[in-house]
Amino acid sequence: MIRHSILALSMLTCLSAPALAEGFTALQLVERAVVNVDDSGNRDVTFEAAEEVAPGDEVRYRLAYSNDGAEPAENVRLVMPVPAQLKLIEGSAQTPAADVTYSVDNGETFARRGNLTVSVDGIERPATAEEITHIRWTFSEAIAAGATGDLSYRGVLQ
Amino acid sequence: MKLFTKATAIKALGAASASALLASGSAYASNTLTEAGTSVSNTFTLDYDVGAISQPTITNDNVTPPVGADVQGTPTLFTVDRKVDHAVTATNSVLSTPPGANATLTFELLNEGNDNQAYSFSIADLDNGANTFDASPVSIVYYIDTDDDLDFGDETGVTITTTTIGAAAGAAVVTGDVPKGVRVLLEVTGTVDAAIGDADTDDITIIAEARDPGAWIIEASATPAAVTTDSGGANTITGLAQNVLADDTGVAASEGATDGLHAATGVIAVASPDLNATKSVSAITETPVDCETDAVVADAKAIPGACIEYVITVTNTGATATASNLVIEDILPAEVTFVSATLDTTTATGFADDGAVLGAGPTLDAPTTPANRDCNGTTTCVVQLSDAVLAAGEDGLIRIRAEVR
Repeated sequence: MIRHSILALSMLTCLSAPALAEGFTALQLVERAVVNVDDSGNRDVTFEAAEEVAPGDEVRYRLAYSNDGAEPAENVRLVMPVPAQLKLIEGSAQTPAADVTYSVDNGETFARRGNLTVSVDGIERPATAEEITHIRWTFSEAIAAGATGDLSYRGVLQ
Repeated sequence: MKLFTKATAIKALGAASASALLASGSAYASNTLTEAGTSVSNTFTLDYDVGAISQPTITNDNVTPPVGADVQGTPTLFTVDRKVDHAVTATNSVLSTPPGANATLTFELLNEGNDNQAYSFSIADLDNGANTFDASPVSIVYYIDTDDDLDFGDETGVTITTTTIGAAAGAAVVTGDVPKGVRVLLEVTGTVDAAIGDADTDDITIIAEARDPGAWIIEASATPAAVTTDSGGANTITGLAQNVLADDTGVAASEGATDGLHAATGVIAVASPDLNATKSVSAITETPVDCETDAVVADAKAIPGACIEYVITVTNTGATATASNLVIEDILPAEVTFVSATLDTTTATGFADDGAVLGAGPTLDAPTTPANRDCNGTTTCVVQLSDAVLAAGEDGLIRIRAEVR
C-alpha cells in the first residue's frame, strides 16, 4: 500500500503541481516496529513496512513533509487520528518542534495530555491512552522553504 | 488355653475420586484482540499559512476531505494479520487413582489468537520418575465451548478414536473452528492396569497443533493444514491476513515457541491402599470385677468366667492412598459373652470419619441388649466398624472384651 500511495502521490504531484503554488507536500506512512534485543540486553528498534502486523505489535504512523514552495510555511498544524484498533503509546507523539495536544472527542477539542479529561456520568476523570482519538501538532516555528521533516506517533495494535 | 477365632471381614475401596466434567472456575479474560483481516485505515490533515494567508488543507482523506482541501495520496491502510496463539494447561495436573481403573486427566486449550483456529491433538510419552507405566488404551474426548459461557456441560463431546501414546502430531482428528478467546476441554482417559504398583506414575503430555480454520482461504485444503511457520511468500500490507505465530513454549521436550504447537503434562499417579489385618486374643484376668475396665493380670488363663480381649489390628501400609469406605465386621464365638468394644490406635489418628459416608464416623456398632450379648456364633455378638477411613501409614485397633462362659 505504501508503494501505491507513493505512486498516487507522484502522479498527483506531476499532474497538479502547477495548481499548488506553495508546493507543501505531505506523505503518511504506516510502519511496524521490529524490536531486536542483543546478547547484552540492549533494545534496538527499527521500523519496516507494516506487512506483518498482529495484535500486540507496535505500529508507527509517520508523516513526512516537505516545503517545496518559495515561502516559509507558518502556523503549521497537523492532525492525525488514532485508529480505534490502536492504543497510543504515551509520549510517542512528543517532539520539541511542536506543541502536542490530544483529543478524546474525534478532534472537536484538543488539550495537553495532562489536562485531557473525559466525563463519565457527570464525573470528570483523566483520559486513558485508549480514549485518545486524535493528536494535533502545532509548530512553534515556521517551516522554511526547502525544509523537510517528519512527525510520528506509535501505538500498540489491540 | 483355647483360642476362639472367627472370620473377620474387611472391605476397603481405594480413594478414587470421580473427575468433574466442568471446568474449574478460573477467571475469564475476554479476548479483545483486533480480528484478523481487519483493515486499519488512517488519515491526516495539515493546515498552514503563507504570509498570514491560510492555505488549503492538505490531507490524504480522499473520501471526506475538508472543503477546498488539497488531497495528496490516499489513506494509509494495513491488514491485521492472524496471530496464531494458543495455550494448553493441565487442569488436574496430578491425578491419584487406584490400579485397575480408568483415570481421566483434564486439559484446557485456550485460543489466544485473533481469529478462528482449528486444532489437532497428539499424546507424547515423556515419563519422568522412578517407577513409571503407560496407561493403555488412552482416548481423548474434546468439548468446544462454542457459546463461550465457560460451561462445557452444555457442549457435545467429540471422541477421538483410541490414540496411541507417542502418535505423531497431526495424525489425529482436527477439531472444528474454535473462535478467538474460546476454550476447549479435553478429557484424556487412560486405563490403569490392575497390576500397576503403588506410587507408579504415568506422565501424559497433550500437544495441541494449530490448524487452519475451515473458513480461511489462503491455505484451505481438504484437511486443514498445520500452521507451524509464519505464512511464506511475499507479505502484503493489505489484502488477506497472513499467519504470524505467537505461541509460547509449553513443554520444552515436545515443542517450542512460535511453532504452532503448545503442550501441557498431566500425571496419573497410582495410589493403592495396602491393608493388613490381624486378630489376637489374650486373657485379662481369671476373676473379673468389671471386665470392661479390668487391668491385665500376668499369666491369666482363659478359664470359664475369665475376662478376655480380642484385638483386631488393621494397618494401611500403602505409600499415599487412604483406604476409604472401610467396613470391618467381627462375630464373637458362642463360647463367650460380649462385654464391650472400643476403638484404639498406636499411630496418630487411627480410624477416621469417611467424608463420603453420611454422618460423623467412624461408627462402631456393638451389642447393647442382654440377648445380643449372649453369643451364638452367628447372629448375636456382632461388632461392626463402618463410616471409616484409614490413612497411609496408620493403624486402627478394635478392642473387644468378653467373658468366657
